[in-house]
Amino acid sequence: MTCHTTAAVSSGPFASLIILAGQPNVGKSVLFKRLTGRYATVSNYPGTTVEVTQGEIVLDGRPTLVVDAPGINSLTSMSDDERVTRDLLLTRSPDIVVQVADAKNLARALFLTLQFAEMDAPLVLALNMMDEAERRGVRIDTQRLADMVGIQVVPTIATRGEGVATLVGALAAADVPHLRMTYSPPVEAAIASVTRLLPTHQVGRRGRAVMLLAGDASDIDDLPVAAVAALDEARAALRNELGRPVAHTIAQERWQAVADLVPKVLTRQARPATTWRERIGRWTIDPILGWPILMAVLVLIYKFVGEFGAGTLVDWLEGTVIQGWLLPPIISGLSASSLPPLLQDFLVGEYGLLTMGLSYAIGIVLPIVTTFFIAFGILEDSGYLPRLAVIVNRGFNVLGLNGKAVLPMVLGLGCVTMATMTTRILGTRKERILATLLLALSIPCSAQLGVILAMTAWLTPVGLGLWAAVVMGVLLLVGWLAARVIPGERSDFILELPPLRLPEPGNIALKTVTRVEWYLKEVIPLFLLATVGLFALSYSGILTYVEQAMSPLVQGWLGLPAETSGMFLLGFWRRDYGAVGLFDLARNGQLSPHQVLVSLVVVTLFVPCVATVMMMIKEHGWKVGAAICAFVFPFAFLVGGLVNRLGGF
Amino acid sequence: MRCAMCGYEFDPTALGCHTSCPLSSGCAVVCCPRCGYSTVNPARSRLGEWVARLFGSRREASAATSGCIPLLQLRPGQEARVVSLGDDDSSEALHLSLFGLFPGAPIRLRQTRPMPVVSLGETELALDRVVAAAIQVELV
Ligand SMILES: Nc1nc2c(ncn2[C@@H]2O[C@H](COP(=O)(O)OP(=O)(O)OP(=O)(O)O)[C@@H](O)[C@H]2O)c(=O)[nH]1
Ligand SMILES: [Mg+2]
Repeated sequence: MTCHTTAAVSSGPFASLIILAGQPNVGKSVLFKRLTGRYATVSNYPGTTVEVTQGEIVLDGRPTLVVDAPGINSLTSMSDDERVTRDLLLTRSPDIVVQVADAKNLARALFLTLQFAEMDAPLVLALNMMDEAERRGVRIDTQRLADMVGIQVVPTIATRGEGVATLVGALAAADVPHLRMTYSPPVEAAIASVTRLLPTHQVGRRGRAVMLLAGDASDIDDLPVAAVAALDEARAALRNELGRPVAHTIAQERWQAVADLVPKVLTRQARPATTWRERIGRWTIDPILGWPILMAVLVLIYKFVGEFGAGTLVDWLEGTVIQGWLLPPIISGLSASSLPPLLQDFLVGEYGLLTMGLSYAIGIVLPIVTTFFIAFGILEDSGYLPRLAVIVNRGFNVLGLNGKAVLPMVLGLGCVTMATMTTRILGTRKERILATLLLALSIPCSAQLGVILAMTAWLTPVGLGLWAAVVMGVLLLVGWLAARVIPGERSDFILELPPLRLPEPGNIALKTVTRVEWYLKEVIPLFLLATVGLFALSYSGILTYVEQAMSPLVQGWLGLPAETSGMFLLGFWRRDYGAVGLFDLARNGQLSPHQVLVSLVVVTLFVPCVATVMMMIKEHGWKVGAAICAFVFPFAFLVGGLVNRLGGF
Repeated sequence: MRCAMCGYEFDPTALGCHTSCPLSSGCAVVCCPRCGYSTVNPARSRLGEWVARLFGSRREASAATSGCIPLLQLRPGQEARVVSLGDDDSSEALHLSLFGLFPGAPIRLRQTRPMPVVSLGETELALDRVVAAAIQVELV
């Protein structure tokens, strides 16, 4: 998000800079991939790209930097990630701005085009999603539009690569738009006086003046003190004259200008009858049908991840390949060698790097997370996730929680650490901390959800139900209690629901591969490190003390075998390590279904991973981070113990 | 509605047969004034409403009168024009306007539960209930 500022973009050896900008979820990242061959995450929900991605193309024989920017709805009133895009536009003065737009939403596209036009940068309009526009009976006279705005307008279907070549050709002929929208006389007068305050060499002075009047860009224009005073005066005078906030008037007048433009270029055929896709889209957010659909989705994911991934694949990879083919020769070779026993133990002992670290990481976790990433990718690209937010919103309302809190929670399913960052969108500090706490407490991220789901294979359906009920119950209880402390307030929670789309196998494959690579590179080393730590504890004998020290807790209170202490230690690093250790114990028949339930509840309630802890500290300070940890871990054991006492089945 | 037996077109709300019946207020049965065939009035069935909505076969709006009404009082599927967002000078109103939701915009209510969903042109938005409840519209 904002930690990636414009400083991250340096044009270096590049001759020129092209920025892809436009509303969220219009296909900028797909187009970016088509142009540069570089992958930027693509999903069917708004806000996928929250930081800039760069790639390069060769244009007229010169290397050109292309930047995929986060989606924006306006240049003059924005959230943090939208500010990234605006700052890019203002501080880097791009050679060409490519506005990517959703053709079926021409009005919204032009609302932004008018603003880009004020920036005086060469602009090209890519009218993307032409296929969907056509299917809905929207026809656009692109030539007329091009003439009216004075720029190249290229219809594209990014997912199929249609129009991309034409777009590249149009870049060479990019023009500064000649369309200028005229505001009402008082606004124009104020713009004129503010423009005079700006340095004459600046490009896009009119655009900057409008931004300054709307009260947004004061953070970037280092105006001389006298000019700041004059600006404040002009803004206050205009507000008085208009009788309402300037930003509102400007937005309203822009919409009027758009309303004049649209009928000149857009014709609408009779909208075809409701398609099955739309109908199903409607059903997914239906107050009644939404639930069975959600259930069906969960069952399918479970079948795929829990049974196929964690069953069939793990059996084969871990059982047959690793335990059957790879390890035996290594173990026998090592024992025949003259290596010191310490080293042998380190490699193939109970907590050995190969026997535990690698076989957990590669044999168990990898197939599980891979299948889960596939399932999750399909969910993301289908556009189901925002609909899920609509369905579960009710539960949050019952809690008295602000509707905006739903989005970080749903995003938490992707990665809790990233979601902790998105709690920034919440209004008050209390809300942010509450959402962070709930995230840390009971939302498992995708990788962890995969392993946790796999664990449930050793639970009976009753046990699975109990686990889900306990975790939901905790979420509701803590949320409810916290909501008493933090009164809800009016929020401007708005969620755009993209149409349901058929996921593209290519994109799913790409996403899964990039995620698995991330997992292998960033998570597995941590995992191995944790194994080494556990080995060191065990070798030095400290582990026995720890197990003894934890035994009243683990054996007494939770009723679990002593070995699980080690797994909980792993769980402090990342919940999924803890879960996978438990998975192994359960598989070897060392845990009864009841014990699986108890241990699973404890691990699910743990803080997700060390990265989350660091993110919490970064976002809210170490006191809050420490307080959340100090609450979550004992609380997890407390609930686990209660389940042990009360949840017999 | 149209009688399934004889095809006579009649207004079920204007039937006088229920006045003496103790169940009149809850009764959903109507009898055709011409042939006497009795059937269940689908407009009185919540389940029927729901099924009708699922398959997009919306029936005519129940005479919601002209003038300003709250958005959430529209029937699902009904179209209207936004009159006000509550406090039109609030930051929420500005935020909504960026999505094309501003006074004067045509709007269609999709559903109210579990969350209010509206569509504006080809844009579909889920709104916080408090925000949606403040929106006033007029029928077009
Ligand atoms: N039918 C159709 N779908 C498209 C087209 N272009 C993109 N999509 C889909 O639209 C969705 C959004 O694409 P992205 O590239 O992630 O959109 P974005 O503009 O980068 O979105 P943010 O990063 O959230 O701002 C994906 O599901 C794409 O598959 C198109 O031309 N036609
Ligand atoms: Mg993107």
